[in-house]
Amino acid sequence: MGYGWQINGEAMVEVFFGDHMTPVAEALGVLASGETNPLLLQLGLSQDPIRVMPKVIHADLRADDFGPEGAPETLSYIADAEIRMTLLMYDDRVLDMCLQEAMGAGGSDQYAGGSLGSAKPMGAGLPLQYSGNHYITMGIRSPRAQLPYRFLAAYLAQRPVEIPLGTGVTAAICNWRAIPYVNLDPFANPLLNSTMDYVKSAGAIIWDREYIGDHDVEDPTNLPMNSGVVIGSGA
Amino acid sequence: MSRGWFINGESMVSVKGNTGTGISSITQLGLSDGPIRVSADFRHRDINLDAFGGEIPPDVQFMLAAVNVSMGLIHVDRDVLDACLRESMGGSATIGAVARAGVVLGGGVARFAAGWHYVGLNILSPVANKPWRFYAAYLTASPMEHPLGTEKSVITVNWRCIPYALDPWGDGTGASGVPIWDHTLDS
Repeated sequence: MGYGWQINGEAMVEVFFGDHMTPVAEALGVLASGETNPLLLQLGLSQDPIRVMPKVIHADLRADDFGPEGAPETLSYIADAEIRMTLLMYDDRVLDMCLQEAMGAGGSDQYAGGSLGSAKPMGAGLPLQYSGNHYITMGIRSPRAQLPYRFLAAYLAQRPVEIPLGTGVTAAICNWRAIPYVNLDPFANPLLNSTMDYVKSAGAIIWDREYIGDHDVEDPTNLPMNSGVVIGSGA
Repeated sequence: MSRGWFINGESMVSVKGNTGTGISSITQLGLSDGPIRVSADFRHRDINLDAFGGEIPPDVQFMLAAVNVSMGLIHVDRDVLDACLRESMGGSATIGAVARAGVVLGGGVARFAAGWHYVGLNILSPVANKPWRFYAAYLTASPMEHPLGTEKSVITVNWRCIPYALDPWGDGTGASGVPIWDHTLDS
């Protein structure tokens, strides 16, 4: 019998930052001074089930033969994922670091609240977890099902957090977005490249089912998104 | 024959609180006028399936438990009871006063450390030799009913005992192995 009750178990949320966040982690007391990377930190436990919601975009290919609404074929486009959680037992300093990164300001100040300015690429053309890349690798442990989630390029998005302040335990409502990040140099001009390289989305990864700390954390190139071809030749 | 009459015997109630309280060592609270009632409160969650009609589950999940202990104290140390009441009110410094709203009884510290406001509740068992130790208890619901008059006062107290965990994550094991009670007394 292949089907059964799906029980994830206690779900610990963990996050992985780039090196540029080390001084912030030290200033906040998350890391002891001089403690080396990797910046793999526990964020915390959720009050309710954590909700993972992939979003896949399709576009209809229409033909008049099929009328105005029918679609004999669809095109699959890129996707992303939303992850919602209400953190109840968490490290508020680590959450603050996540918020800093989401605002593109990670590493510039001790606390979130400042902004690095608009229209700044979060990845900055850098590989994931490299210093200066503001995406966070976010993992959700799965101690019972042994099938964790690892979102390679995630950030707190839209209305990223809702933090109620009062005498009760603060339950921080967090909304994450995970994208299939590709480390493209935003200032490169493919028209000037003699080989006419193009970005291709094939092989881009939004999530996998690996434990967040399983790769060689000292060498981010071992991350799936940081190895292999991310810019391919045009057809 | 291993079965037999179960007679607990004279059930002295003793308590122990954190290192900063007047009950930092195991201290007698008192004797009950009648049987002390230990009631387990198990929580199970149905897994309902449409294939089973949606109301009676084919399986259930165990979602931890608590234990309620009620007693009518008749031969009692009022100072010790006051210490238990203060702890249950968030560790207030003065009997009758409350701690600030939102105080977490566990305080984020280990059992009996300063800031831990639960009480270790112990019930002796001199005849059956099977005492009870509730690791993290507090007075709650109708925590105390204290009749005042010319007759002896039988003070009814209600305890709730939970599986206190300093770290609910338990390094991935969650609540597994967290004790609510056992049969070894605090020392």
